[in-house]
Formats: sequence, structure tokens, C-alpha cells
Amino acid sequence: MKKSGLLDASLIAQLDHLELVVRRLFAGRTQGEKRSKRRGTGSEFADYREYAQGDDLRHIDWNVYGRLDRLFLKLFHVEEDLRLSIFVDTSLSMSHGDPSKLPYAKKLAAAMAYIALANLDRVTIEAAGGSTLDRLPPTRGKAQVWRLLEFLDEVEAQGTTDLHEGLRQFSLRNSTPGMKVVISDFLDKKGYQGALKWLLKGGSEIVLLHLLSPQEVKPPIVGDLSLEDCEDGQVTEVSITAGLLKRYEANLKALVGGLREYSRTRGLAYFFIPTSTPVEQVILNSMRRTGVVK
Amino acid sequence: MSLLNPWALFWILATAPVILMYFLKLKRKKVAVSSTWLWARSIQDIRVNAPFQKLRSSLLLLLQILLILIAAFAVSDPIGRTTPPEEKRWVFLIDRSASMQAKDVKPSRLAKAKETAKELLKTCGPRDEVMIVAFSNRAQVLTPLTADRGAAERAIDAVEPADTVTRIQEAFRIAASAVQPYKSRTIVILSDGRFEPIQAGADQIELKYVPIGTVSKNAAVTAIEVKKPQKADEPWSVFAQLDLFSTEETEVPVECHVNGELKAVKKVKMAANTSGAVLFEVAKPEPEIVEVKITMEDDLDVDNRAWAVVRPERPKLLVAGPGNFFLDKALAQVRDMDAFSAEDFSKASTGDYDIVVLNGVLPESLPEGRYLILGELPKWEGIKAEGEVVQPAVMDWDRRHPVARMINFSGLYVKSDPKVTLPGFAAPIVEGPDNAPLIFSWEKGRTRAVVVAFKLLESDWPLRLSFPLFLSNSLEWLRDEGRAQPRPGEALRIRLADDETEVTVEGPGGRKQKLTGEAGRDVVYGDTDRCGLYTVTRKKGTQKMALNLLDPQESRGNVEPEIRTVTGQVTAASVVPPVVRPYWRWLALGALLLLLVEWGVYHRRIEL
Repeated sequence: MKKSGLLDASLIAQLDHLELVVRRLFAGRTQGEKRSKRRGTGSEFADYREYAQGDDLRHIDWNVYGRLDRLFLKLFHVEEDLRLSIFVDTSLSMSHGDPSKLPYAKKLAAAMAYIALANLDRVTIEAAGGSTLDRLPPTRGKAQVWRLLEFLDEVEAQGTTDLHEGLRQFSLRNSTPGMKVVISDFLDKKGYQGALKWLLKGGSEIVLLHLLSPQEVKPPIVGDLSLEDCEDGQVTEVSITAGLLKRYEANLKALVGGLREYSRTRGLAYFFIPTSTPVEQVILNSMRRTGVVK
Repeated sequence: MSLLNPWALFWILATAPVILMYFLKLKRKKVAVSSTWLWARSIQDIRVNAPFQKLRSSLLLLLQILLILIAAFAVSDPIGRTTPPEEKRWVFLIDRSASMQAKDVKPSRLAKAKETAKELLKTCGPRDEVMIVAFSNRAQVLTPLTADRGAAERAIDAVEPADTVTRIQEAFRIAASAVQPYKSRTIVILSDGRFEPIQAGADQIELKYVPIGTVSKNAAVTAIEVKKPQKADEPWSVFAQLDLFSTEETEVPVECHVNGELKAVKKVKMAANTSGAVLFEVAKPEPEIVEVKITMEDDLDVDNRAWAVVRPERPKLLVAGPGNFFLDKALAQVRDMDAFSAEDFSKASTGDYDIVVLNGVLPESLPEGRYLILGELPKWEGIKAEGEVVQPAVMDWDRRHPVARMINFSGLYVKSDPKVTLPGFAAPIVEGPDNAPLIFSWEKGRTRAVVVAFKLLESDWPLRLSFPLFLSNSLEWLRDEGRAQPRPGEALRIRLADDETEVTVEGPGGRKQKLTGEAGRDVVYGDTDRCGLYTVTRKKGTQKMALNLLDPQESRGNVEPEIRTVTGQVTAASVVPPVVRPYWRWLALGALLLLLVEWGVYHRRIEL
């Protein structure tokens, strides 16, 4: 396996024990380990149904026939794979901060993708920044981990954030229901609500991972400054005062709070993650506690 | 309001470079951030929420401009004034008499008066002229009319207290004549009002009275007397009169020091505002210098001590002129005096004697002294004689005069008497017909004289009982120190002996002054503003003199609410004219506060 900094051995060992949890049942494409909506040849009993002509005789419950003298068919949950689609925002703003958001996002994506691959789920990753799009086609099986890591390694920050367009394309391309993970800093001047609307359409389980660097949470800047937006180069002249910093914090809180509230009312899982938090902690503690992984 | 230094307003131009610098704008440091979105929103929030949002961006600039404006205004020295400025002449009469040393206002009335004068000075217009006159028992011009405020302030600072009584008239006259040529003039009297009514002239000079002080509690020694005992083995008595000026009953502790040693302490219980006496008896040593001292804490210290110098030697009497049996007999009866006789008066040195009896002789002129002139008429100082009255009958005599005490002059036979016309200062004692005096006296300066105008041996008087009585009374009156006792503030006249040309006088503060003059003449020592003992060092030993305040008027504590002129015009206490203070201090203070605010605003921006 090509050496990649995204996943180290100890993390992999911990991830091996996890699986993604979806609260809804989805119909998968191929057999997997997740319970599916479909009834069929799983190992877990689901229901009875009266026999109809053409049904597989092997599924007739003869014990019931003996008792009731009627033919009933035993139905089982089909165990199928889960479709995990990860959207990684790779706009230039993601390259900011210390620790930087993009490597962190990659690491998170890699970890989640690994959990999915390890459980025979299907993974697809899209890295969108501005007009460019890098896509890892649906991949299945643990053996594909190297490909996944290679893909993530090559992702670079570029362009401006356009969540709206990015997520629209993402949801159109990944219309198959499943788990959809969006990793972004959500610093989109057009707002996030219009963009997230696209995700809601497919009825998928949605996880929002909101990354912000510590420098964005508490800006360590003072004085009369000229702030330059790294994406569109827009310059804002500010005189940093305590009042302005308070305002900034309030606005940031409003952004985070708004996202959290939006997610809660629509059944989305939302995580606000400062990049100073170790990835292991996010996956093993936060996600486990909220039941995204188990 | 007006500006003392309007040119300083040019400093306002200093705002120009500040504004220019703001136009040039500060170079902002470029910082790349992930997104300006949140910042832009925050700035917007602040702009929307904050009042005067436009001003906020340049708050520092505004503060700095304001600071410069205030500072420039302060430097231009604005002063407030309630009356329109017009050129005026002011005379400040500052009372420095003994009562102004009272401490009922802190630190003392005089200090308060000086302070008030300085404040008043500030209300004068820039072109007004000010004259400072201090007065005690005499006037002292400290600065003539001047527009120089510094000189006026220095003059006010130079006012020093004097332990004297208060006489305002001289100072007032000087002030009035100084401002007389001017139209707009004011005399401001800063005093406690304890002085005689002012003889104001006809021209209406505005008079302002600024009373200084409140009510003080004061105990004072107002008289001191030392009496020699009748018999040698009896104690001396020291008598002191005390005055209490207080609204409550007080126990006044009094000490008696004899020759520098504390001899006795007494406590005198005195009712409010009363006088009392205290008597000390001193057996030994024979007192030379007696000091009576009130040891109570009160508002005025200067009247708490009084000294008395006991004349050690007996008075010396010189009888000049041809011998006279009756006179010699009568003088032999006089006690406590050493009599000397000199046939030829011109050879005797009158300066060495306390009393000179001139019997039928008269020099061309008399130095100051005490004289009994018998049978001759001193024809100077306005005493004139025109013709004679033959056998004048005694018409009347002044029974209240000490010389005529207990004496009946009626039936006196005199052969003839010159018809004398007396000047104003002389007083007839015994009068003949047409108001022509037979016997008269005068008192002028340090001179006292009793004159018997007729010739003794041409009358039956030496045979009468009234003659030795008259001699005794006369000598008693002539030797009496009485009004001749010098008071603080009055010049001391010291008679040089016939063989000395200089004496040294040492005041109570230890200040020595050498006085030189012609032998046998007076020298004058003027530095007597302080109470206490003055030591005159002469060729033949030293002589002490005590100068005491002993004036209930000065010791009385309260302040007169108004002052009067002799014509009955009353000047009520003026409120200290609205001293509109110079504003620059407040402006400077404001500028300082503003600087602090600016500092705070700046740091609020810089620090988190």
C-alpha cells in the first residue's frame, strides 16, 4: 500500500471495529451487510406473507402450514450494501488555518470511507472546489482503500466556494439513497440553506461536518488591518476592536447555531469541528455518541 | 468672557496636520483570511447598531482635534467676567494689624486677606491698574498704581503682619489721592473692620469692604502694671487685666514670669465677654522684667503676652536756678527721687535727668523731657505774653487735672501775672481773669511741662499748704510714664547721652540695628511692628523697653459686618465679587481627561 499520511495504523485498527449506522433502511444494489428495505434472502426474519403462485417454495413455512393448513411464505430482510457519498469542499478557504482544514477534511473523509469499505459498503468521494470536480467513482471492498487514499492525496484546494452548485451536482450524481457526508467550512457568501436543500431531496441520511480552524474561531489579529479574502481577493478594511471581535464571534455563533438548528429540524446529523480536535476523537467519541457510527 | 492671549488661538491650526495625516490614511497591514464574509457582516452589524456610526470610524481623529481645540483655548487664557471690561483703578487696602493675625479663618485672617486680594486681582481687566496699600497703625504703599499683575502679586505677598492697632485713615487718604484723577475707581478694603470711621472725601469713590474672618475666641492681656511695695519687706504686686472675647465661660490660665522665670500660675474663671483682673505677688527677686502670659489656645496669639519693665533706678530730679528755701523744703518731702541741683543750668546735662525743675531760669530751647518751670514763661511753640495782669484773682481751676488734684487755689495772692495766650496743645490749670492762665501744662510728644507763670516769691503761695501739694502732684504727673509709653508700630525715640553717638537696638526677633546720631540728641528706631521686649545697648549698660498691644479693640474677635465713614455713610460687606476664575485650568483638566479617553479608545482597539 502506498504510504499515505491520512490514515495511520492505530487509527485503522480502531476504525476496523466501527460501522456506519443509518436510521432508515435503504435498498442497496448488491449484497452487503446492511439491512435493506427489500425482503428476500437474508438471514434475519422480517415477516409472513400468504403464498402466491410463482413464489419460491423453499420459503414456505411448513410448520405454519401444518398448524393452519394454509400456505405462508417466510420473508427475510435482505442485507445489502450502503451507499456512502462524501462531499469534500476543496475551495481555497479550506487550505487556511493551522491545523489546515483541507488535510483535516481529507483525513475525516478517509476515515469514514474506510469504515464504509471495511463493511462492504459502497463509497464515492467528490472533491469540489470552484468549477473543478474530482470524483472517486463508487468503490467497494477493503481492497480499494489504497485507491481511495491516493485519490484523497491528490486533492488540492482551488477555486471559490459555491456550495449551492457543488451540492446540487453532488446530489444529482448520487441520487441513490444512502449516507451523504458533506465536509466543508460552510463559509459561503451565498449562505448554506439553498445548498443543503439539494441534499434533502434523495431521502438519504445526511451528515454535515463543519470544519473551522482555531484562527477562525478566535481570530488572533489586532489593529488596523486590510483583510483579503483568499478566494475572491475581496478586501475588507477593518479596525479590530473588542466590539468588532465580539460581533465576529456572535456572527460565527449564529452560523454554527443556524446550521445546528437547521440540521435538528430536518433530521441531519451536524458536527461542528474545530481543526484543533483530533480526528480520532471526532469519529470515536462524537460520532459514536450521536450514533453515526457504532 | 474674554481671552487674555487671543493669539494663542493660532494653535488651532495644529489640527491641520492631524487631519492631513488622517487623509493620508494609515497603511493597513494586509492579512489573508479564509473568508471576509463573517468580518464584513460584523462590520455591517456594528455600523447598523452604533449611533453616530460615521463618526465612529474617525473617533480618534475627532478626539485629537477636540484635544487640540481645548488646548489652544486653554493657552489663550480665557477668563470670565460679569461686567463689561473697562479701564479701572483699584486700590487694595490690606489690613495687617494685630487682629488680622487671628486664626479663626485658616491659616490666618491676613493670609486669607492676601489670598482674597489675589483672587480679586484676577477679576481685574487686563488694562486695569492696581495699587496695593497695607495698613496697620500707619500706611505702607507696596506698589503704586500698576497694570503689572506680577508686581501686584509680589506686593500682596510682601504684606507682613504687625502687632499694632489699626488706623486706616492715612492709608485711605493715600488711596483716595492716588485714584482721584481717574473716573472709574474703587477702593477695596480687606479687613476685619476694626478701625475708626473713615474720613471719606467729597468725591464719590466706590468703596468695597471685604470682611475677612468670622468670630474668634480670644483671651487677651489688656493692661499690666507692676507696683513697688510700700515697705521693703512686702512683696511686689503684678496686676494684669484680662479680657475674654468668647461666647462661653472659660477658665483662662495665666502665668507670671519674673526676670525670665516662671513665678506663678493662676486660673481665672471668666464669664462670656467680660473683663477680669489677676494679681500676682512677687517677693523675690526684685522684678526687672515681668511678663504676664495667657497659656490658653485661642485665635489670636499676639495679645496673650504682655511685658512690663520695672525701672531699676529712682527718677533723677534736677533743680536748676538759684536756690529757694521754700522750694528746697518742699522738694525734700518728695519720696523716691534723687534730687540734684545746679546753679547754672547751661552746664547741666538735662538728658541725664528724668525731671528738670527750672526755677527762674530758662534756656533758649528745651529738648524733649519733663519740666516744671517756675516763674518764667517759655516763649516758644506759640505761647505768647502781652502785658501783665496786676494782682490777678484766681477765677477757676481745672479740678480734674492731676496736677490740681485735692488743691484749693482760691484766695491765692499774686503780685502780677503775664497775660498769656496759650496754643491749642497747652491746657490751663489755674485761670485768672480774662482766661489768662496762672498755671498751665502742656504735653507734646515726649515732652510734658507744668508752668507757673508768676514769680513764686512775689506771691503768698509758698506759704500756703497748696504749694507742697502742687509740687508733689506735678512731679508725680511728670514722672508718670502714662501716654508716653510707646506702642507697637510707633517709632522709639532714644535720647543719646551727652557722650555717646550710637546705640544698638535689638528687637524681639533678635534683629539688631545700630543707630547713630549726634550726642545729646534723639535717634529714632522705627522697626517696632512686633510686641515684646526691645533692648537698647548703650555705652552705660542696657535698657529694656516693653511694647505691648494692650488694646481691647484689636483683641475683640468678631468681624464688623459693615464699615462707616465719619459722615455716617455705611458700606456693607460686599460679597467677594464673583470671582470668575480663569478657565484655563479646567480646560487643561478637560484636555487631560480627553487624552485619557483617547488613550483608552486607542487601546480598546489594539488590545483584545
